[in-house]
Amino acid sequence: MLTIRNLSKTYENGVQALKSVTIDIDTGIFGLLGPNGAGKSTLMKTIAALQEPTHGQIYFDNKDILQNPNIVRSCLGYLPQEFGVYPKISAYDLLDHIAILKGVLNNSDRKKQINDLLLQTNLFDVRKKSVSSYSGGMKQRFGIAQALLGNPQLIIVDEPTAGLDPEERNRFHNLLSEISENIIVILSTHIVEDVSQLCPNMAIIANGKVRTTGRPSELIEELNGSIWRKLVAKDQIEHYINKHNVISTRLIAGKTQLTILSDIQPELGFEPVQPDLEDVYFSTLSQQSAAN
Amino acid sequence: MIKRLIKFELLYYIKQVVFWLAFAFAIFFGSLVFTNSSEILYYANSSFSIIDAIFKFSTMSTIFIVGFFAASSILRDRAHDLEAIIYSTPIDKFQYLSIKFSGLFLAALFIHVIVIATMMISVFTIEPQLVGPFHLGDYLYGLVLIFIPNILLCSSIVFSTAMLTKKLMPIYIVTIFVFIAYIAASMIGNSPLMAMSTPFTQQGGGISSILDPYGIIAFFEQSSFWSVEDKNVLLPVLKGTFLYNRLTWLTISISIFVFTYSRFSFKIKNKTSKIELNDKEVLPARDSYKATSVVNISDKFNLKVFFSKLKIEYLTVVKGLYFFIIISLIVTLNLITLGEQISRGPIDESPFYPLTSLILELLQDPLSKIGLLISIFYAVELYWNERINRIYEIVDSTPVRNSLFYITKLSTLSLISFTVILISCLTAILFQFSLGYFDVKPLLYFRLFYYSGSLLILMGGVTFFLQRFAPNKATGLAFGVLVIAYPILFRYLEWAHPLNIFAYNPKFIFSDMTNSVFHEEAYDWITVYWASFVGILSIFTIKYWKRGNSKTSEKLTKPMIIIGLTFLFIFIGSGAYNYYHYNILNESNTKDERVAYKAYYEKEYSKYRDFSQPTITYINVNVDIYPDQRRYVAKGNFVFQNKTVKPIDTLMISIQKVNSLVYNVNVKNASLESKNEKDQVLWYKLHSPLQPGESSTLDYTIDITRSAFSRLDGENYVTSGGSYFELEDYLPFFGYLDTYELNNKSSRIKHGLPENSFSDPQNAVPLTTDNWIYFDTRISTTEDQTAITVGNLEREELKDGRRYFYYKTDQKISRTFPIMSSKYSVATTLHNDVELKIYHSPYHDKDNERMFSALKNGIDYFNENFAPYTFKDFKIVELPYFSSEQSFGAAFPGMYGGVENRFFNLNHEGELRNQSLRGVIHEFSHQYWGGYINPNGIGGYSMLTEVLAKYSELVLQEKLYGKYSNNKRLNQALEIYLRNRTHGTNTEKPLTTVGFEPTISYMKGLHSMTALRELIGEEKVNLALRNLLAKHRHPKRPTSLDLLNEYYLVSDSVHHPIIADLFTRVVFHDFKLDSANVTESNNTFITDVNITALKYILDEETNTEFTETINDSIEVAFYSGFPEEENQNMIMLKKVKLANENTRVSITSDYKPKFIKIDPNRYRIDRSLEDNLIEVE
Repeated sequence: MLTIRNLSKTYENGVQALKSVTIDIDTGIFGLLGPNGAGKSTLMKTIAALQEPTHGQIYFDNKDILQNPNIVRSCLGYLPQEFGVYPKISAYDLLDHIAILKGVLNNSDRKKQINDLLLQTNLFDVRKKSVSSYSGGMKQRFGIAQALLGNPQLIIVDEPTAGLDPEERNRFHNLLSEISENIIVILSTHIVEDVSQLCPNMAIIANGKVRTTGRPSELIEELNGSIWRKLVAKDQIEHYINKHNVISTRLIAGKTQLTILSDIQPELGFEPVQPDLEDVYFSTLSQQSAAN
Repeated sequence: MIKRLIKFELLYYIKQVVFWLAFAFAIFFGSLVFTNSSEILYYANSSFSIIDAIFKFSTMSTIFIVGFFAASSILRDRAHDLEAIIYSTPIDKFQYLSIKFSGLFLAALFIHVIVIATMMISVFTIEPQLVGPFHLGDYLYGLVLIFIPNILLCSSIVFSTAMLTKKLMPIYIVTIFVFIAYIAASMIGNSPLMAMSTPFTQQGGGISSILDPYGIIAFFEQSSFWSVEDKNVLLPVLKGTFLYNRLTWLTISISIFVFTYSRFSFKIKNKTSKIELNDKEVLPARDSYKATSVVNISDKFNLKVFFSKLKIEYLTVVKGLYFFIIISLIVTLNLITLGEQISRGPIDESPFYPLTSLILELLQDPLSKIGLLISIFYAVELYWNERINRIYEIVDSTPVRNSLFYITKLSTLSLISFTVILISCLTAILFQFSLGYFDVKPLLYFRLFYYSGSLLILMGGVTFFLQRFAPNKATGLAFGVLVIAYPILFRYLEWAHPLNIFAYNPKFIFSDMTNSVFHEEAYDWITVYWASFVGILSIFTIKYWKRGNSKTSEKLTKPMIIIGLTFLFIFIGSGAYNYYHYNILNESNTKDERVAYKAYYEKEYSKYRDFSQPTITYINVNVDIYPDQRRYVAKGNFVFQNKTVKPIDTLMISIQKVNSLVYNVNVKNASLESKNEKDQVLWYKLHSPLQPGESSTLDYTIDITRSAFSRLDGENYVTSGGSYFELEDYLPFFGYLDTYELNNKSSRIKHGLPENSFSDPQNAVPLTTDNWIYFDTRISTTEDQTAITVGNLEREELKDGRRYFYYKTDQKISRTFPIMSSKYSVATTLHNDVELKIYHSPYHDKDNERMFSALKNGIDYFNENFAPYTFKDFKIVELPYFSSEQSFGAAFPGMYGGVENRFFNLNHEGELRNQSLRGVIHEFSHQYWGGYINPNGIGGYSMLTEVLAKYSELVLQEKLYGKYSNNKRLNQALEIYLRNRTHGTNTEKPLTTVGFEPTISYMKGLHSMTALRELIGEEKVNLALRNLLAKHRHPKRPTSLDLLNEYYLVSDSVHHPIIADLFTRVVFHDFKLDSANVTESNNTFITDVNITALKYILDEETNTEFTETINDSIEVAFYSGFPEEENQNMIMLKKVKLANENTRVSITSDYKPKFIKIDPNRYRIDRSLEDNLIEVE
């Protein structure tokens, strides 16, 4: 159980990246959804003890990890949003090194786990190649493999699917759900689909604040009957935006599909639709911008 | 727009820390330039000082300024990911590159202008009489012709590297590469900035002066014979090699820019490359994910992490291209240094044996300079490694403790340092093998790992600590460089002390003979002190080790606190111990303080200079040497006699100050009146006055310790392996100690003392000093050592585990009292009743036969030509070598003490001539010149000592090896003389009046004697010397005029004007062969030669030269090819009478000359030789 209380972070340049964030995260995959710059990475780095908050507390199994960062370090699997590697070192050697840093001391165990992970991330063929020569997707898969080394109790993956093709993403999703039974996995993403496919629990974060938390199905439930869609011509968009609570627009075959949040049918021509997580996301964001 | 962008660029530079560090350094350098060089005749702000300083700054700093600036600023587009945005703006490629280049160039130029501005201002801080008129042109010249082209060059190299690689590392590498390449090139080209450079050949540096990228060699080539007057006003002329040099490198700078332009891609580089897959392997079965158990708080975990990280980081470094480049540079540098130094030897181009002890010194020197840079460089690299490679978030979020990260990185750095040292050693061993020398002594090499290794590791440790304060790598590197640089400031301010110079690492000079380093124990203690300091820093480095972007620090664990406190305890303890030894037991006063004391002593006591005092006639002494305690005790008594004509009732007894001296004096029938404890001056009242001719006695004890912490005095040391001290300096002395008097003119002026230049010799009052003494000495030392002093060894005995030696003089000798003790082997031979002995280290015996042979020749020649040798034996004693500043040795009655690596250890194998001859003859001749003949210590005294010793070398060399066998030596001597006379700060004096100026005595002395012997013949010179010995032996104190008179007496009066030129005036000639035409008739050849001959005389009053019509006979020689140094291909030699500026002569010969040379054997001094030779068409 990861307990985050009133966590705030203000950078030296005055940017307030986190504003009194309070979340409880239980075992299973927890989706942290939010646009770029929402504060997701700041939150993740703070949990991983890579930076300190300005205020607030974080407890892992009721232990204060801000005071004792080694508690979280000793059971953490972390995939940063961006990372590099030492030059001229093969994937196998680097995984071997990181496994040792994480405390996998038994040689045969370590070998077995690395080989398994290489297979699971489909990197086994290229395990002897230098990681610095990998393509973006391969490097990302390497990042996933290293995060799973050892016996992580808390896995933090920051934008892990960026740069992965659909097949790779699928494989990654499977892998994540495979491991998440008894441990906490925090998945940060701006892709709604990742969350809807994987996460029993989630939070939407924007501008440093937690906007909403809950189970995706429950959040979707709340919107039942309030989502309306219509295809409109380009010159009409302005009109609808001024008049209604448009939460998202999407181009479909040259025309624009408007999605509107409303308890009643906004206008003729709008059809009610079964809401999905994307609607939850956009409606939450639009409420936040309205509040601003 | 462009202007605005350049301004923007410049502003960016100004915001960098590195910029302000460079700015501070520029001011620091600029303000120091004029403070050290000033003398009365030589202005502080002379044009030469200005140009010289500008060159020094440029060669040593320009590349670093440009390199660091580029590293901190030029790659910022990439660093901030703005690259793509910049590339899509309307600026084209040329504009883009020009803007960036201008920014770098202008920022660097600004710093250089600051140097010049500071120099101009600093003039006002100097005493006005040392300052010459202000010439803006001198500074502008330096700016335009030195700074700007050199900045352009460095900028274009660094800029090109930065733009084409877009990486930081190559910028650093190219920066260091340019620096090291310059050092290597200047060693090949003999740049005068390098300490070990040799004199230029007069034919000029040629290619090396063009290849040198900074133009400094060309400058020194032009200015090498400038007089002080010239140096005040002359600027290098933009012609010849200097012009070609500037043009060449300007062209190269532009070409590099053009090359960069053509190769630079204005697109974002796509970094990824395709990976080719192997043929499909059979994949193991894919299991589902399983966690693996982890243990991350155990020793096993720590050890595994340590080795895994060490391996990864060490291999990344050593596999890198940059490491390869650094190592190749070091190997090259080492091979050049070893080759140069070992083959050149200490003097006379006698090469050294490639002894490991000697090689260590040569390896340690670059390690303590370039090695430090490497250490700092890799410390910075290692610290920032994870950040630069952007893997830090992964690594920092593992459970590895801060301490383990730090220890691993420090260990990696140590391993890198050891690798560098190991490769240096292997290079040296290979070098030894290549010379057929196999006695490698590998254990000795291990000392280098300790001595240089500890320096590099400590420097790495402090660099790691400083990184926490650096916002980025470039600043971090600059911090490291500051640690290297601050001692320069401290040394300048005379604050330097082993306790405040970080990782104090003096030159490592290993004495093969004693198997030790003089300051060894002190060095150990200093290393403990600095290591514990780094230990304390380490605790903080660990506590504040940066993880991720976290600013929090780790709580210190109990063991860490205990370790930290232990380091603190050791730091304070060793600091106190060092302080006690350096400052309390051995006063570590600065040079300024020592000078000030001497000035004080002279002011206080010089009034007693002529105070009537008795003369010591007999000395009895028991000396006990304790090598392991580095201590000796001398106990004994004097007999002194009143040799004046009046009774003496007051004794002034002085004891020379030396550290940790305990003394006791007891005068018979006298009472101590007063005692100045500080100055060690004692006043005694005799109970009854000492009548003329009457004698009395004095008892004394002195006890001196020369610990490893004391300043090395090459004439007063005791070590476990070998001791040498000139005891007469520390025995009580009657009257005023004139040895304290300062000789340096400007320090005398500074302390308000009158000039004490050597007074000119006078014929009027012949001086006689009857102060020679009988010695009776007993020396005891350890059982395994032999003790030696002047006199005859009467007996030797072993008593209570100590060995006793009894020496006694059978005739009066001068008051010189050297004592040596070491594990000597002795070689003995008898020659005409004189016993010849060589006391040497058991391993340094290779020259024994050569030395004996030289001595036998010398004794025979001297007995036959000058006067009989009076002692029963002649001893050559080897002395240990502890300092590169040590002299060659010293001559004593019946004895010569020669320093190992100066007089011994020279490799003469396979030489046809006896290479020991000159050295041995020179030193033996001092038995006569400086021994039997003991000149009055006034101006011109060296004409009766060193000048005659040079003559002795000359005649024996030519007697054994032919008339022209000395030509090479003469050419070298003249070169050194001409080059060094320009450094003199006083007007040059002729040999009859010159004071203590070794270059004049040795080099010009050799020339004058060569010319004299040619003029009047060896027989007559020897007759004059024979007469000198007959008339002017001790106790007479002859002057140069007495000797000159003997030369006149034996020679034809037509030669007197030339003799006067050689010894009483400073004379130069300028010969020129204008043309030579050969006509043939009946198998004989008639050659018409047109000669121009000018003669210049230095006016001592005005320090300017005037001309005089020549009236002389000068040799003209014909050669069958380009003249060889010893005239092997000379076909004809004729003396030509020159009485006008222009002379035409016809010379008949049987063979047709190919080359004609005037004054081929250089009996006159000509400063431009190139026109003395003409090739016949």
